[in-house]
Amino acid sequence: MLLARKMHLHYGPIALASLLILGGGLWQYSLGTNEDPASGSSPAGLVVGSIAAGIILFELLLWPRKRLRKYKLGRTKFWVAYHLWLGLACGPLAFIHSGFRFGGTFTTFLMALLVLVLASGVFGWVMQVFIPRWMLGNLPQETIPSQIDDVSLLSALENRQMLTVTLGPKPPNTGKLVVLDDQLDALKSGRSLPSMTLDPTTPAIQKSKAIVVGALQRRDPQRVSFGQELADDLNASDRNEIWKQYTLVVEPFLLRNVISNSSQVASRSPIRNLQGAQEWFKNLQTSCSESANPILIALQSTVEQRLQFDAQRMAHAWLHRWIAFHAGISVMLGVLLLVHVIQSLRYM
Amino acid sequence: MAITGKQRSRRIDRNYSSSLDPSILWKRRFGWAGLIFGVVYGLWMLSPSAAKQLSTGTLSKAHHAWNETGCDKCHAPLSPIKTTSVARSPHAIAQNNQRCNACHKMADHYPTATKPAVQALESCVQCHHEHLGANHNLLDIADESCVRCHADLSKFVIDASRPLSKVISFDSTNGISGHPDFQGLIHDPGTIQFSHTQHMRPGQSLKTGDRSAKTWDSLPIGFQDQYQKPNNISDPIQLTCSDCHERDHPIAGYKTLEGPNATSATNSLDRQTNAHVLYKPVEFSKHCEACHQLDLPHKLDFKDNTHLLDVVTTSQQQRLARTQRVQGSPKPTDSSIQETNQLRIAGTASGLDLIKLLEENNPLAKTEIFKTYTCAKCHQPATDLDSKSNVKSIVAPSGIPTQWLKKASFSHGPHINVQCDVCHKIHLESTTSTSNEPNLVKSTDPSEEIKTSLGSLASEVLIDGIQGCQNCHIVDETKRKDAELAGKKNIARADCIDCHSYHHGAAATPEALGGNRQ
Repeated sequence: MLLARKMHLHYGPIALASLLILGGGLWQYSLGTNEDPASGSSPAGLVVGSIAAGIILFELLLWPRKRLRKYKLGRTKFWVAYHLWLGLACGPLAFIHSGFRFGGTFTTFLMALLVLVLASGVFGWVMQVFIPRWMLGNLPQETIPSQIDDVSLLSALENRQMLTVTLGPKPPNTGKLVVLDDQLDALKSGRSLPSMTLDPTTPAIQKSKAIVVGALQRRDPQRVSFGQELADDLNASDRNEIWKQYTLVVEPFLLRNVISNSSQVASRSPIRNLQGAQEWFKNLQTSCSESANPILIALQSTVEQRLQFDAQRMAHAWLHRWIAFHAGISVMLGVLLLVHVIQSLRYM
Repeated sequence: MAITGKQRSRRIDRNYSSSLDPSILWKRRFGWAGLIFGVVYGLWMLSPSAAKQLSTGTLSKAHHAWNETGCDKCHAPLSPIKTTSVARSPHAIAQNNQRCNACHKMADHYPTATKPAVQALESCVQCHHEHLGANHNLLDIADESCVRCHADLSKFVIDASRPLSKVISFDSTNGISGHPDFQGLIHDPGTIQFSHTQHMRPGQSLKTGDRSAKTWDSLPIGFQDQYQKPNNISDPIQLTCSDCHERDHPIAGYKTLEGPNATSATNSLDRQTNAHVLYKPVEFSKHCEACHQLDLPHKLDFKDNTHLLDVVTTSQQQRLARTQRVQGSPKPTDSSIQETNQLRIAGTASGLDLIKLLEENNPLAKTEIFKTYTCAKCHQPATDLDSKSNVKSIVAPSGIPTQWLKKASFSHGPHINVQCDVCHKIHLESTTSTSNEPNLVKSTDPSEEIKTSLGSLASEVLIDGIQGCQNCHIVDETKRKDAELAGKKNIARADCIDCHSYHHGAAATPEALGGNRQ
């Protein structure tokens, strides 16, 4: 969103990039002939190439700058604006520097690397503009990506508590609930579920001792509205059906990625998408008495929340995973750029 | 009922930021991978074994052996070789030129006429562009390489006051004058008096239909096979170009084009050859003697006086015997020796005793031989004929150039599919003259025709000027295509390098090149 707002921030880098491309291109073109076009070693080629190399180094500075935030090295929005526009100018400048040719294997590889860096950067730019906007409109229950599984586990525990309060203890012959003691212990100790899943041998991280532990204090306040009156109106058939459907369908779906083997079950679940979930809960409401509706609505709410988390997880991946590729090849480009400078001085 | 932000936040672990996001993890992994790969590849790039990675293109066949690791064979370290390089300097150019000269000992371009500062900035790669593929011809030089100076030579030559042609193209385009006329064709430097017009007429007659025409059966038997036998052996002989002009380079399949009725090839470009073909000098014994028998051996000189005396004595005796046989005189007796000597003396051009002059080693002997033995029919006397300094030559050197174009190198090879008379025009109806006088000689004698036609005078050069070349050699590509579409044959480019060479002087000779020129 930062990139789409306040366009006046971008006027400076856009003007600078355009000036560099236009001026460098004209200068370089004027030096060459049809028979012997100007190359990287011409006055224009060398100046434009040096500028392009400087821009690449500037682009790479975004990484250390992040590490040195405490020194307040300029505002992020300016860094990003110049990172984007000067980075975009880098491609044409490199092409002008080379005299509109790719040269040998090494320089071709270098140019291809630059194109990949630019392409991945532009891809990330587009993602960063559109995905947050889409998330704001479509994922109102968005949470912190790393806490998705934690929140889902809490939802499952709260659901169990709610059902126990409202429907009474789980009747036999309604399936078997998964034991969540380990996960609960992990949450109480301050570990997030992903870290527990990734490395169970890692000792618990000593986080703030002020952390609110336990499901009760994390639970959704809406759940407290269910009272004894509701429990009295429900018949045994409703209780059995709701417990059974929750145990077999709803909770495995909520706990996907939290417990082992839950992913496979969830992938075949009838509530794996919004339309299917709504249809499924509608059928469940039909098969139960009207008194069970508030409970079913609360369960449907948690399922829809989980569905939004899944969409958020996907959006998060599109939003951030390109950075790994972009950063990796950018570092490689930076290193090979130094080699290019050394070798060019030898054989220009 | 929707939950508030505060309620939502209560469900979140406040230390969530301590957990490692997979995106960050992968970013670090890719970053390290990029760094390691870049460093490894970069270090390898700095080693000689990776030289080919730096090459901007495959080398031409001539330098193919250095395609993999031979950068230093041509590139001097830290000396920019490109002509457009910012750090280009005379020192850097010299460094790189030395690498070329290690194998190619080429001469500079008119070193005495060009400013030294200009010469110092001339690099080999300015014209010879490498790294353009194995099939690129390094000798294929673009016009731009020449025009950059020849458009205005005054900036580059030492003596800018002399007349300098401004050439930017072979033909004139858009009002800009093109290549000047060929200086070598303005005047015939040769001393041989010869009429192509007469010799290309049937029977080599002085006039068309002349009864003095030479017939095939009148030729000495030893020469008859040399000439095409007509259907009727008493018909006049028709010479062809190839009867006297032999190629110095055998090319099969083109002989017919030199004949009198040769037709040019329909698809000429298919028959083109790049062989450097010239024509051998005409030899008297092979090409002239069938009709022009001499009393003295051709190319007689004064190197060996004893031999000369023998030859001249024998010749005079033969001439005397011929005269007496014709007059029916009896065999010479002792009483007639004195008379014979008188006849012999009377047979010389100046009435001098040639034998006596030779015995006395008198310089006048040469003049007497020249005048007596019809040398003057074709030759001019040596300029220092009467001088004691020249004791060998009787006639002036023929002076016929092997290359008529003084500053260009013409080859008949690429033109072998063009009939001779396309460029060498002979008007057979012209009046024959062997006078070496200038053109347009008018006589007051009404019986003598005006000698103006091309080819009728020995001084005429039977080679078309630049206009003849420009009929086929067209610079502009569009005009070239138009000419081809119009059905014009033998359309060709007109690059400077097609005729001109850059390197002059002794350094460019095969001996100096040491066989390394490729």
